[in-house]
Amino acid sequence: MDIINQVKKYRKSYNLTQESLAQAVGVSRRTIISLEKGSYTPSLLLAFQLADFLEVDINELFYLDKELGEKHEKNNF
Amino acid sequence: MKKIIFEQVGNIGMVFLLAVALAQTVSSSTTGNILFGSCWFFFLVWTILFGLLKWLYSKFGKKEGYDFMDGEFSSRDEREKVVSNRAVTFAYKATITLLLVECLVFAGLDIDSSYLKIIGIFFLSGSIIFGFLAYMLSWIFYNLKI
Repeated sequence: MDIINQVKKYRKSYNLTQESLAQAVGVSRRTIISLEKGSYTPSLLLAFQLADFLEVDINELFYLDKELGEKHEKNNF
Repeated sequence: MKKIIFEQVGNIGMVFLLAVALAQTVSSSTTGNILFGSCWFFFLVWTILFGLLKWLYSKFGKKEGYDFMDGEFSSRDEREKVVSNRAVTFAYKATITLLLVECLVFAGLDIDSSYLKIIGIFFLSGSIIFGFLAYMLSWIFYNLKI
């Protein structure tokens, strides 16, 4: 199952740049870019740090893409 | 990415000079008389210079996450750790495959015993350099991919 994130949406709602968000949570800008593209799944710690900084529930910021996940499972079996 | 290229270029240079120096010693030494040629001097200079540059980089390149002791495994954040893990896995598999191929090639070669030691040195150092290169290239690849 894939994890979908709304980091870009919440970052933009705060008018934050990728660089400032990266500095706030102690990662590189490249990591924020990868996160927003969906090519990198963060650790639980980083996910909580992002949710905490963006003042949003972690379940709203990150959630499972069940449809996509089911498609993957069907393809795998 | 810069830190990985810096570290691996330094490592490759060091192993290359060590191999040349070893080959020089092996080819010119006789039983009970070990000779250290000029290549050892270049190897020592490179090692000291590289060590100094590493120290300076670790002092002034903290923003990039370079660490003197971690070297090529230095990482700025958790994503770079993932990149390093994947690169190391790839480099390990590639180097082991190369060593197995080298073993087969080496066993099949009809080499004069006087050249055996020197060829052995270059086979081994070549494999180490290949490992460094494989790590560097796969690190760059995964860094762009992830």
